[in-house]
Amino acid sequence: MDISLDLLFNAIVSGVLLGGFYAAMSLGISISFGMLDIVNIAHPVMIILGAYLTWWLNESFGFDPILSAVVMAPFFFVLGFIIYRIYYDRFEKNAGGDSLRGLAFFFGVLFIVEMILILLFGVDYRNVNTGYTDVSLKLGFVSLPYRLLIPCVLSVGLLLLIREIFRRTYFGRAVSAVAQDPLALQLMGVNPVKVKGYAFGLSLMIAGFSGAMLMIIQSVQPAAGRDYIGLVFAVCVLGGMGNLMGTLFAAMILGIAESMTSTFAGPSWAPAVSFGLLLLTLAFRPQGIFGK
Amino acid sequence: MTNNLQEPLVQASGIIKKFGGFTALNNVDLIIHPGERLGLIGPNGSGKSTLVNCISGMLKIDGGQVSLKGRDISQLAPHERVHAGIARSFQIPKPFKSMTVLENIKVVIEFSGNLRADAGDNRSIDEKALFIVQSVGLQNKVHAISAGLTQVELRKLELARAMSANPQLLIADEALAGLSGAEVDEILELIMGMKQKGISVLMIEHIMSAVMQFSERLMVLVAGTKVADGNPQDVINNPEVIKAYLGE
Amino acid sequence: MNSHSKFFFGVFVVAAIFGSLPFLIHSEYFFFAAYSVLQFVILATAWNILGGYAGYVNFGSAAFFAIGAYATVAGFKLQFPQGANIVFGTFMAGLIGLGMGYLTLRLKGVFFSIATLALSVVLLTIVTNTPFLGGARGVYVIVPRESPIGVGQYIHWLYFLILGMAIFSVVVARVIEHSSLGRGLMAIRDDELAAEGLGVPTLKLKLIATTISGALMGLAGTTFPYLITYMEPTATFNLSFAVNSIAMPIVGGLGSWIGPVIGALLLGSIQQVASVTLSSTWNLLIVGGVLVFFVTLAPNGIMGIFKKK
Repeated sequence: MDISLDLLFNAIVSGVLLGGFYAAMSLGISISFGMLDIVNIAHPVMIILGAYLTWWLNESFGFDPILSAVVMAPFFFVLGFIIYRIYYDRFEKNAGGDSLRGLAFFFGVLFIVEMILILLFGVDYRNVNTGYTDVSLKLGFVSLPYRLLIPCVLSVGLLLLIREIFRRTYFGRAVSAVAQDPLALQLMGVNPVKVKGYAFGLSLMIAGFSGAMLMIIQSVQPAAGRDYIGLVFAVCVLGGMGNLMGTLFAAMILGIAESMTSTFAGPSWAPAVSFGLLLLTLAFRPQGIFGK
Repeated sequence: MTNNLQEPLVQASGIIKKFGGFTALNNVDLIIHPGERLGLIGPNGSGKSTLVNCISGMLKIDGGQVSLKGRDISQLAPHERVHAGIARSFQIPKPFKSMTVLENIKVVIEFSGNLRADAGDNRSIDEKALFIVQSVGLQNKVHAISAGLTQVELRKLELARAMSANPQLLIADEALAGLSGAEVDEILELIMGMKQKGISVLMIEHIMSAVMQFSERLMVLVAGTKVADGNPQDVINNPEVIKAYLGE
Repeated sequence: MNSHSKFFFGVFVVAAIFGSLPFLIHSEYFFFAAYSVLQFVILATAWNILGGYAGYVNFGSAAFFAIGAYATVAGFKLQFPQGANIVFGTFMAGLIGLGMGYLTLRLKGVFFSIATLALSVVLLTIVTNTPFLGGARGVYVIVPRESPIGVGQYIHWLYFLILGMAIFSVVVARVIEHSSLGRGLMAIRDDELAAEGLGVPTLKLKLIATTISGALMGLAGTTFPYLITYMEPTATFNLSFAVNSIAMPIVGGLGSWIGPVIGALLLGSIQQVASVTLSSTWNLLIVGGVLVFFVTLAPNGIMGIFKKK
């Protein structure tokens, strides 16, 4: 088989760049599902919501997506905090194992948000054009499109930043502790519910940021979130629930796998890659590559 | 009086259990004979519940073997071990919340008790269940939804369910925790009454008065290692045991 | 009359009433709408066997439904008779349910749920890439002009089929509910660890429930191609099936066979009316809203509200 080395290399490079971005998309799930045990399957639609808000800010005020990410952050944080308080009050407080209702709740939220997006923006693809959308950085025979490079760099940067926050700050350590020992936290005078609320707000903030990055990479339509559900959970599980560096590597692996599939088998097979990988992981190594 | 030269009923030999880098059980041996009352004590975190989980099958062991009447059951799933004859109550009661007291017990009889029933026992499931409800003194709550029971009633239900499996060995995991004096006596009486039915009991407890009353033999676990096993009076006077409880 | 006799008498009465409608109602549209509602009765009932009885959430109703539908497409292309297609589709759906369960049911419940989401997308991708099944463009299923029973139009024949399937599903659900399988599943739902620790063979029961649930969803899909005559993936893998299969049992009341029936009849009929006056987007938005409303504020559904009174 005569595979062009050029093609192969570029496929891998695209995969790595995409993988960095996938890490940002999955980071929120690593926090909400991996650390807090909340199965927010509406997370991907929140990413799309972020993408549409980015588009709207661009249309109305000419904001660059990166600027939008910053501007949207408080909105998503508050939204996440509120949603968690509802979730906690109705499903976590008294339930003790009734995950069915929590799951159904987020599924309903997924639908509501997606349908609202369709009603507000229609089903056509929307995209944002920036100064760097069609430009690439050329290194020898390798081409690094800025529309992939910038989200990748920013995503990886964000992930490393969050990791440091979890390690160094009081808040960060409280979040790491809250999943493992909420009682100990309470005894130290920290309200676990508040901490979880902040953490969930953070996870949604990251979703909003991912949406902005997505807008740089490609055009979106309201149902796009569904393609990413498998992806974010696959990365989270493969990376070892809540292990941030594991998330990054798993995202890279997935990015490369998807990119290769898309290049050599055709783009119509790409959605199955992440989901297929998820099924395989769940079946054969549910603790992930890097989990215990 | 148990004859220690008898064939053991359940034998756990050389049990090793690790959680990541932490060794919870380090080469622990446990033997219990038919009809025996074995007490298991130890400081918090010494591995008592872990050992129970290993024997009942909830946790996979990293080394050693668990056998029932000489048969290796280490690979059996928890529900299969129940069918073989080992039942346990949970430290924090886990009732089937949407079901009544009677239904809680009927489920266990249906899936376990009946499998181990005597050939001559022709009673219906309802009759058997009612009998067990009465034997733990919950007859006035027979049709009450189990979610609404008091602590003592939940403990009784927990024991009743374990009994419903018609076990040869019943493991009572801190069944008395958090109960008041009179309540402790009530539950302890139930547990001690198992011997008459020919059921061996392994009791994990912190309440020493109950432990001394109950135990024909006493075993002590400290930091995943067995430090004593024998006559209860000798054991509690053992210097290592005293050190473990009063601290170093 | 004991509760079993009452039930079967009720089934007979319902069958008689619904069965006589083709002779009384002349609007052909009515039967397309009724078909859709009865289809939801099957999906909701099937979902409830795993969701309401055992507490395991299946997001992939659309996938199992589609398996049944595409099995019929394959059978049609191979010129199998309709009856064979129905059996084949049900069997395939059940088999895939078993397989998926085997892969994921040893893990926490949420992983099973996420896997069911994954299943829909994987299957959709496979179908889209398989020309024999029509690929992305779709495939036509030719249906005869006349009804095979000599009376009425073909739509009436389909209506009888789906009515029979719906009754069959409800009977299956009720039989399970009153059997040891049902009681075991409810123990699993209430406390799986305790159930396993008291002798309930949890994995085996979950696998049985997943297989039956998947099979019934596939059953509902087997006649779908004959109804819409033009099969293309997005219509079949429609997420409306997924959200409705969950919303209807929750609205009607989990835990008993009645809830999904009430939820399907109610929500299904409302959607039939809404789809004429509103867009399908508004329709799904409302269903999503109803789901969130009930799951947060009335978790025991309509049955729960009546039981309190």
